[in-house]
Amino acid sequence: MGEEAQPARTSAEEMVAERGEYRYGFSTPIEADRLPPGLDEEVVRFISAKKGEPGWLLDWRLAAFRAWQQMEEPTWPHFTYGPIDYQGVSYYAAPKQKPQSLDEVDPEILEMFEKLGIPLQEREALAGVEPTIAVDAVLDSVSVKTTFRAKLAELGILFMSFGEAVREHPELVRKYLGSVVPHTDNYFAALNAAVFSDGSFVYVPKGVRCPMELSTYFRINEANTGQFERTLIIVEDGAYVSYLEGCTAPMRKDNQLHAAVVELVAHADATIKYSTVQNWFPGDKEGRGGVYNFVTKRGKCLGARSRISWTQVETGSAITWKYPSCILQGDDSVGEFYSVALTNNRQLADTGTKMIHLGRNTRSTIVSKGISAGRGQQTYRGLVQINKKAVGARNYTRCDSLLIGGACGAHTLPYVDVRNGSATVEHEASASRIGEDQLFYLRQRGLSEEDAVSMIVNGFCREVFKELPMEFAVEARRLLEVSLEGAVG
Amino acid sequence: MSETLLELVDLHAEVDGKPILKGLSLALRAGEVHAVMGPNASGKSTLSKVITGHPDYRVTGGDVRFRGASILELTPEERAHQGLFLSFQSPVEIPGVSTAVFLKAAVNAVRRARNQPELDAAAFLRLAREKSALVQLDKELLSRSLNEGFSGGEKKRNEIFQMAMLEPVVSVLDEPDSGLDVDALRIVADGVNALRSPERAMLVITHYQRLLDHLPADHIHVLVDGRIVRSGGPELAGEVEAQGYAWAREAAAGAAP
Amino acid sequence: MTEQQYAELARGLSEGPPGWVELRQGAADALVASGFPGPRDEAWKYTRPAALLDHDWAPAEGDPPEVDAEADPEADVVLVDGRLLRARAAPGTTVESIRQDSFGVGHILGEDPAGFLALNLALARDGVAVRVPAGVSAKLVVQHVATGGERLGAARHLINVDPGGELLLVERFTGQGPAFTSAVVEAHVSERASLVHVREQAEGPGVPHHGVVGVNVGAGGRYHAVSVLGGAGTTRVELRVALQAPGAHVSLDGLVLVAGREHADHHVRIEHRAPGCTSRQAFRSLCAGRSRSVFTGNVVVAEGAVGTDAAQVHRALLLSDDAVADARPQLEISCDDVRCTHGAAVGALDAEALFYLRQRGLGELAARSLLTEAFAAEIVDALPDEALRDALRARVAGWLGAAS
Repeated sequence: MGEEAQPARTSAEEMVAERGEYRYGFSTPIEADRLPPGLDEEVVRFISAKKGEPGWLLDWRLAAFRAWQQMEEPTWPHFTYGPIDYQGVSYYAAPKQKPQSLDEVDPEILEMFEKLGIPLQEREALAGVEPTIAVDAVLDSVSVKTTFRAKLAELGILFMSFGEAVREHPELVRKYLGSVVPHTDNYFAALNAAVFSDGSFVYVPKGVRCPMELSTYFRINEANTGQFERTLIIVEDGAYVSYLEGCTAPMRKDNQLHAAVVELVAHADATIKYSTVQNWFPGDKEGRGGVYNFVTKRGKCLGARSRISWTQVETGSAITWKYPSCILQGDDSVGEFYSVALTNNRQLADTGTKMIHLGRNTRSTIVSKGISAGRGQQTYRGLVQINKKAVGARNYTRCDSLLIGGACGAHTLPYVDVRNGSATVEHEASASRIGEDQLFYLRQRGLSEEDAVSMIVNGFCREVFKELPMEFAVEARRLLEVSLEGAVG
Repeated sequence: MSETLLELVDLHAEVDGKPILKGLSLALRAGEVHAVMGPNASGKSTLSKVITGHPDYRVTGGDVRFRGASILELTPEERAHQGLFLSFQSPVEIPGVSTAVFLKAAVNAVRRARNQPELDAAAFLRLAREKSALVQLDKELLSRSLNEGFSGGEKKRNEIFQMAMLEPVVSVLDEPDSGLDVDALRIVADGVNALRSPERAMLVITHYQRLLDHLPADHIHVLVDGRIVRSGGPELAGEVEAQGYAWAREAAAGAAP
Repeated sequence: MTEQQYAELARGLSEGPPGWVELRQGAADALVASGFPGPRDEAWKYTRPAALLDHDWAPAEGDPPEVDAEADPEADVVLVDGRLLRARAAPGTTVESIRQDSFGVGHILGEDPAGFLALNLALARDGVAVRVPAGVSAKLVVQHVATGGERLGAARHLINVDPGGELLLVERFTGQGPAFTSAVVEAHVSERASLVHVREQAEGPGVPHHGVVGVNVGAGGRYHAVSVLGGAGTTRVELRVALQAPGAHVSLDGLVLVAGREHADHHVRIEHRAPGCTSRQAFRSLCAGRSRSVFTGNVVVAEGAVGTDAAQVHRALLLSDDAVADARPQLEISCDDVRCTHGAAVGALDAEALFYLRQRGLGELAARSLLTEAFAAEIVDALPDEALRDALRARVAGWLGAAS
């Protein structure tokens, strides 16, 4: 990209062969309804009209679009990437048939999600077993299927695509949309606000503990599209939800843009656990292709004693730019951030969190584990801000980097800003490579070098993995192993 | 005569370009226990690392043979698969890796290499319970991170427990007594003694005779400045204890060309 | 005043040898080109550049006045508002006016200075060039005196410690406002040489203070700095150390004592450019009243700097609810064979420890003082001689008495 010499054209197949380890690299031939590439006000209006949106939402989108036009694309100290051609991206792609029931879902789509291991059939329910997970499947820009909606509705829980929420519960959407991430928040959030096409919506009423994991599965399928989904989760007083998010994309030699926004609102005594396993296509060994993952995630602990916990495992994407954050507004509210990020080959990741302490006795915990291998570059960037009125606030931060090989980089750039004398903030960080003595010990007991490395890396990440729901933890460990292939020796 | 399991032939080795072993020869036959005694910095720990293939140590001459074949080209894990076990002087701590998870992986890696069926979780736990009793290792330690926060005695017992689990052919015990009080030493020694058999051999590396009171050896070698300066029967340990290493050092100086 | 106006003032100062004048004129041009740091400059995120420029500062003219009353008899070198009053060399060393021996200025901090670094050189009235020859061990006390009158006391020093040489350099800043102190040191520590640099900033209120220290350390060389800040309004000291060759070592200690509306900023950058170097940082801040302490500590490990061992700890003790502490401990690592750690902690006195002492019969004030002095002790104890330790201990005690 940019002024660099263009790499020799490589077919997707060759890339598959080169990087056979990316398991989700297939693409599926699905008939899609898509806009031609380009972005102007007409595109924004088209998306809004296509989705049958009310006027206030169109106005909100247009305000965001105009703000975006005035904004400058951010740059990062350790990263450079060729310019993104925002006019070369298609801002809307949807499977042609919008299904009303599972029978109408395009069998190709069903099969694709099956291949990904995401059940779109409410199988367990049929067998009379209590379901543990409900899924909203988002393909390119559009939600194709949400499972267990009816069962959840019995408890008053709303779990649906964003578009449906706009139609069925406009008052809720209007009240909370942009209340945590304003439409002018940053360059990519503004772009998302202008052109977002779908996403997931969750509402858990007062006192209800959501009985199953809610999950969104994102998939970029169409070539040359961006994905701009928007997730909004509102949890009322004393309610609880655990939400999971997974992502994959086919291998393509061009870069794909993913600019999502997630907003969480926790009322008094509410708890939101948000877990992500991000495995977008990372590009090949030479850094060709891969997803640009520029995501804004933020939660607001609005009520007293509310709790928001972010857990993320980031192994994919060519570039990741992401700081899931908490605004701790309610007294005694709690924010948590647990992160594992792995960069191999030429991947770049700049990730971390912001904990903004506003209320009294607010507490936050940050545990970040970064693994850099190959020519991967990784930055932890974080802010802990204790404001004037946050009497008795506490933060603990632990931030460790593991370096594998002499050509990678690990950077730690925390900001600690304490404006209240009664606060306690502790930050610890370390960076080192895998100990030779540790490797030798495991090999002396008969483990291969690769298994030994993978075991040590998993141990390094254990504090974070234990925060994940079981199935996700297994998936995360496996992903880590796959992503590290070729990093050793 | 019983089979020669481990043979060191005129072994020369260096670390960071500094020669440590300067022509060391030794042969262990099945059923034998040998002890290598020596003062600090005589090359004792280097010997254990060279035999097991630590990448920091470079062999500059001679050979290490296992059951008659050179193993110098083998990786540490390949040597382990053949049945070579090292009880480390200071076992490393690995945060986040549970002892049980690690050991199950190790046991099965070794079993695979020997064409034995792998153990499932239940069989592994049964075996672990049985073997941990051997060294009175608290079973709670199995679920903790490998050696992390273990006391000195717990680390040493964990080594012998792993040795029992992996059923090696030749065990090299690098100062299994260091940092132990008499009671802990007895537990470790009893564990090791229980693993003696006519098919196995052991090489015990120590600074003190004290260990050999609990863990009797058939042959004693005195290592000074990278060479064995004296070999003999169990009585040699008493001589070393009585006269210290100074005479051995003089003997070494006298023997040098 | 603007960059241009300061540059104009600089162009008006033409005394001194041509080489010196030329250097300064170049810096004046560089000041105009770069300007002062703006509000969006990351390096100045928590310290407002305008706070250093709150008066129209002007360089002192003419010969320096005798300031015997204030001058420390122990001082070998005395500068008054940047002008050299006297300079004597320790036995075996050479100490010259920088005007006479300016070769090497900018070699460490850059030939093309920007912002306050450019302002310093453009308006520097004098300074010393010090050489400690191979094998010589010496001590040099340099005193900077500010006399008020809105004068800008800009001084520039150059230190060379030759192979195996040792220097204990004590820089002491005293005087009253309104005045602005701008002091820059460039030091080259050769192989196996040692430089211990004690920097005591002790001007009274109304003297904003900006200091930059640039040091290159050669193979097996050592640089140890102890920087004390506080009492002067807004202060900022930048320490930039490059470990150039294998086995070089740096340790930086800092102590901040701020109260009222004072503001103190330690800005550190350590570059590990060669294999097998070690760095240590220990910074402590005591903040009372509505004061603010800022710490930025950046450790950069270059590709190929294998065997790097770097550790950094910053702790801030907030003695009032209105005090503010900011910390940015940063690691930028491009090499896998390293051991780097940093830790930062901000908080109030440990309530448990306080209770423990009071249970044993200490009054609350006494208990607080004891714990606070203990907090500063790590930095005090790192000073190289007893007299310096006693003086700093007394300063901490005095500060504590005034602050509580």
